[in-house]
Amino acid sequence: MGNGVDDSRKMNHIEECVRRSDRIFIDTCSVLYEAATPFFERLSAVLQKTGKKLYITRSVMAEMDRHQRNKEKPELAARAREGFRNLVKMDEAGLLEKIGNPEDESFADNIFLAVFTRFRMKYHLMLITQDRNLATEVDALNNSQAVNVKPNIVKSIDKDGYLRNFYPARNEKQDSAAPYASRSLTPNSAQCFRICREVTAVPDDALSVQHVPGEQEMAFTDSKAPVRLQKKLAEGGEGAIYETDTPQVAKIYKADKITRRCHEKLKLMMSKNLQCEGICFPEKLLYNQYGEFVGYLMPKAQGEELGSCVFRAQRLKRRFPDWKKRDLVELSLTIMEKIKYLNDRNIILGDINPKNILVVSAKEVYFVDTDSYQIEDYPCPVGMTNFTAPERQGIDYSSYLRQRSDDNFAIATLLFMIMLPGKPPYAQQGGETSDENIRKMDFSYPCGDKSNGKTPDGPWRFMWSHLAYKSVKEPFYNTFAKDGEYQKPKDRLSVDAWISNFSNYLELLDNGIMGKNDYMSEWIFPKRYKHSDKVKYTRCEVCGEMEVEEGRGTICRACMDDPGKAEHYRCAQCGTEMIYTMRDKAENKKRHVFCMTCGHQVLYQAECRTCHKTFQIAREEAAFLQAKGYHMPKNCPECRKRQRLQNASVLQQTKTFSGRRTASYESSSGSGWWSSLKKLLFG
Amino acid sequence: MEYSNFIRLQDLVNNPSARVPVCLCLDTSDSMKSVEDDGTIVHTGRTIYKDGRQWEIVEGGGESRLQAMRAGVDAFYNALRADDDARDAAEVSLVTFDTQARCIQDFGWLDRLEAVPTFTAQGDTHMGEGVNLALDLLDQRKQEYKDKGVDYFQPWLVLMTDGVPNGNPAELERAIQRVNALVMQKKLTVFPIAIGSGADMEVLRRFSPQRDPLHLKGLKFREFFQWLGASVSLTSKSTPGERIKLDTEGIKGWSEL
Repeated sequence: MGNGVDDSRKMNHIEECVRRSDRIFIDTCSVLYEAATPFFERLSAVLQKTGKKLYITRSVMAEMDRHQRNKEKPELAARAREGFRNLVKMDEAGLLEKIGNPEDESFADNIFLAVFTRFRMKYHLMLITQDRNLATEVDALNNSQAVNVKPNIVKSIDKDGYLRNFYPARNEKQDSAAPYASRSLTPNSAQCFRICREVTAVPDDALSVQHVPGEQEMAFTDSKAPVRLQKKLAEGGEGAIYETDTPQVAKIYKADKITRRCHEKLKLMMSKNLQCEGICFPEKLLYNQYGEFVGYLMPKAQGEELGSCVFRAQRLKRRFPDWKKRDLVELSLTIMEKIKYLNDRNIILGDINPKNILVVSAKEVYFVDTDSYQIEDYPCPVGMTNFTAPERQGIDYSSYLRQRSDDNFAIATLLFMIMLPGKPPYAQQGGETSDENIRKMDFSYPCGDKSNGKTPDGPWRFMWSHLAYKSVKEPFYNTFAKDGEYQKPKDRLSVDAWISNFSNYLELLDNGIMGKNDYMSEWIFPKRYKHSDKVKYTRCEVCGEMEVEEGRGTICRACMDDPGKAEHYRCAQCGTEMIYTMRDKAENKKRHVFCMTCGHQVLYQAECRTCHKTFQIAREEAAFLQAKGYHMPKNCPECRKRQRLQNASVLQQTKTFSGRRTASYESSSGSGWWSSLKKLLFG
Repeated sequence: MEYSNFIRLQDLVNNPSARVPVCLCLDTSDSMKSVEDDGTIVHTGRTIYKDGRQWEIVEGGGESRLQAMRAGVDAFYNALRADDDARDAAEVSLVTFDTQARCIQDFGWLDRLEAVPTFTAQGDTHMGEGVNLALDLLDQRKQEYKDKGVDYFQPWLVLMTDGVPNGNPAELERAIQRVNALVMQKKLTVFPIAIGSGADMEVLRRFSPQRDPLHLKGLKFREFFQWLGASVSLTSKSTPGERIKLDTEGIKGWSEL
């Protein structure tokens, strides 16, 4: 925003839109929009240049007049006055055309729909509006099957006073509005693949191939045209990718992966002339010098693996240092558009894998390994645990045909891992695979009042809290949690629904609405929870600056962890620097006297009175005992623990006990306050 | 807590990527001062009793075991630092055991490490105490991960010894039990490595119910640590929760099974 190249590009965009249109209309809400004035200036310049005019209906002007005189909403009145000033300036320059009657329809919307429907055969019409619903409806007129319809243009004013695309209307149903920024029309049935129920019978055994060409060797297309394999770009489990002497790259399979199933699947995929920018579909099959199938040619992809440059937080910070939350959302939309292209044609991706999506920028993404997609009855034989739906965990991927619901789960997971960069939705600690947690749908992030109580504090939770509630948090929770509304496979949101949700979210971010509530919501890595309207905040008693949530004490998060405000001291034995922060104090953590190493040093060794095993007392423990005035324990830790458990059950019967920790060390000599208490109570 | 620990916790907040925790638990008893006979050694005729055994005092010879091990550890850290992903994900703790169990380096962000700390050899072989300390450090770090919601891959424990444990037998038993329990629950991977011919293979076998101890050929520490570094890199590049296949073929070159 605000750099010269960007500005002139955006000016050109305004000019282009104006040139393409015969009649340009503007809606009340756009005239009232905050950034309308700079836009009007630019529009005036363009209209002068092109000799065109801005059309305004008198009903819009009447509406504006009403707002001007609205005493109860002074802000609205002020903006209406400003809007009028802009219109008058245009009028005086001869650039404004007023039409209609002021009494026509109190809702200008219907006028626009009527006008646009009626005149679309004759004119290229353009509408400027901030209203998404109106925009969606007017734009939908373009999908009409009628012939001779001249397409219309619908735009909104962006926050800098230029034109931007509108965000499609909110729609939670599975089949919703046109995708963000792209105009791909829904394919007709001839362009779609069949939906099948059973895995194909075509065999997947390796065909015997005489030679698999490698670097600097030749391969051949169907028409026997030679293709030289040049530098090897990558190698995987299935085969290798080579640069060629054509603009495309070649994928050549390993000998044991060349099967009839593979061959037939590729032929099927190529039968429908699939074209989508950024998806690397197979274009031509390749054969060796004996005419045996060995691989295919595809467009060259660019960019770095999603799993590498986005899913590793530190790497993300280095690779895209300027990115904000909205860039992650835009990236998600770019990816989802392509998924939509595939899903619309009944292609199931199956293995939505962060290695198969390459990122150049938030707007430019490439899909590779397209030969693994599931088409008709050819399954996708691979998958990743994290992206596999709970009901499919543990089942061999090549034994079943996936459905939309499988892709829908994977899409939700992918989106989650983009918004919380690299974090799989189901907690994973300790090296077990996530499948257990996924099966149990043990989702550890709260939504409203619902929570499994396991959410750890910390950076990921902060990120979660800053997500938009209705557009993002709720749908994630409903998809991943056991008690979520979309937890059943058939209820999962489709890619269209997610596109709608994320378009919403992008609008909230780009319009500054999220930022107004809490500026940190625009960051990718917020440092604290989102401020909530429902919570009261007080000033921190230590620094007086940051705010503290009511009920969370009187010290702000920053001060709690600030080494500058903590107690610094030294290990009593070796002098290592130690620290006791305000958070430690607040959480009643033990203030260690010694560092780890010194604390572990064994001071005493003794024989357990009960079980006669030798046990040791280390330095830190000894110091703790001394400080509390306890005697050295006579029993080993296991026996002590057993005693404690026995004592605890006795404790429950004595309500007078205030809940203080009991002495962990049983002193059989009879001294010590625990024994005295016991004597007192039980004789 | 130690100031350095505090910094570590802050690091989890600033770098929330999934971690690969690796414990190096290394024998630094007197026996590690021994040198291999590479043809240049000169026997002085004197002997000395240390670390439970009789040794010949010699002059010359090549690298001592300790030196070779130190060089290997250096190579390990360098390999990790050179790999972008391992730099963000790997956390290495260094515990040595001789007559004392010492934490030479606690878990933490590699970037903070200025130089690999040095260690010397002296004393007996208190293996149980060493392993217990390593496990305690690991437990503490896992709790810190949990507190901050940071994912971590299955931790690795590399146990290297060239001798027979002669510390507190109860501690040794406790260590073996703890390790076995963790391995059975799939919460730990152990690499027990025997150095030289005097290592107690039985004890090492007891530490590792699922993997036979590996016998380092000669002083091929560098090879082992390079393989370890590559494995950590591989792990850092994957997503937590996915199965990772370690390249066990690569081990064959420097060890005998």
